[in-house]
Amino acid sequence: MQLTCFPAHTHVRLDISRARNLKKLEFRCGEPDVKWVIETLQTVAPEHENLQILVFISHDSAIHRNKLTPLHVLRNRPYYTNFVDALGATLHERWLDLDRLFVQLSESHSIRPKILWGEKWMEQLLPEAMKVGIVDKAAVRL
Amino acid sequence: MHLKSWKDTFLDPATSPAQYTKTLSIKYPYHFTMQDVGWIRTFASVRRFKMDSSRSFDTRDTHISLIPLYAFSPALESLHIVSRGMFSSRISKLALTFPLLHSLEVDIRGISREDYDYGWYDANCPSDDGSKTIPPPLILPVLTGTLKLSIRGGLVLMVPMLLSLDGNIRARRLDLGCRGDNPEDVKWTQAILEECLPTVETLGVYLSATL
Repeated sequence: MQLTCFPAHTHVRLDISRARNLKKLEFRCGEPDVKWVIETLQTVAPEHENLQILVFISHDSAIHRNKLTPLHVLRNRPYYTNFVDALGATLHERWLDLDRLFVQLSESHSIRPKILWGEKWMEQLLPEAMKVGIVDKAAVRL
Repeated sequence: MHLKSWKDTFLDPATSPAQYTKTLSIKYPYHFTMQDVGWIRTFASVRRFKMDSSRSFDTRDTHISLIPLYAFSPALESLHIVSRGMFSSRISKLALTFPLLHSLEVDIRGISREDYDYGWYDANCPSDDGSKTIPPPLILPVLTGTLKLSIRGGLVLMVPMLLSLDGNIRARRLDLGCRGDNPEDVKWTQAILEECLPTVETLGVYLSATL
């Protein structure tokens, strides 16, 4: 079963490019779809150096609504081995896009995003950013 | 504060500790009447006020009149309303009666956009008619602190009014709840952000298929 995601044609971008005094940006996602996070972060301006970025995934609403077994997912049990499959190809591809964007923002703006979600999933969803150590795993222990 | 308990304990508002109160929180305000104006105004030094009517057995607290609260504390700086279905225009009118208000938090959890679209509210909820008799405020508040909006029926129910204040929205922190399946919410989030471009330092957005 696939999780809910925004249709490709839906524009959920916020343009923050002219908010020059912005110091902290918090995304709280009801679903693990990061399309709007990506589209918004694409508007980061040169003035946004060291911008604090927090991405929080509200796992329970998404997981419950899509009827995935909550205990398997929320507690990261070993028998739940492939979270990428549970996300589906579309959402996974968006996470990989976010992964690449985080690496770019790290290089261009010294930005270190903070993610609040399952720590093990981050290694699957943000492989490059995790590898170079630019994401703070302010992970909630699920 | 439990409204009834307070009134039972301090029968004479003039001798109650109300005048020294800086932070006031009221739950279950289901018995406000115009007769309450007198004792509510004894809380004239309150700077932070929260009213939570969300834990009601009545799933729609639309019948609560906010008129007794109008301008009750000239010193009020922060207003926080949590409701299951209070109509946002009532909250807007209330907010505009506090000239020093700099932070506004509104969390309306119950009324749905469908209710609004199909006229449920108009058909079932009398308006705050008394508000027509209250003169408009001489000084409008300038929101320079936190503006937090989470409105089940959509940001359209409140943001246009705020934008009509013409430059009085200069929040440093914006915290907005959006429904991803309601493109208007994204539009109104952008609109309020545009209004606060020179001042906003923290932007928090909650986006979900359902709010």
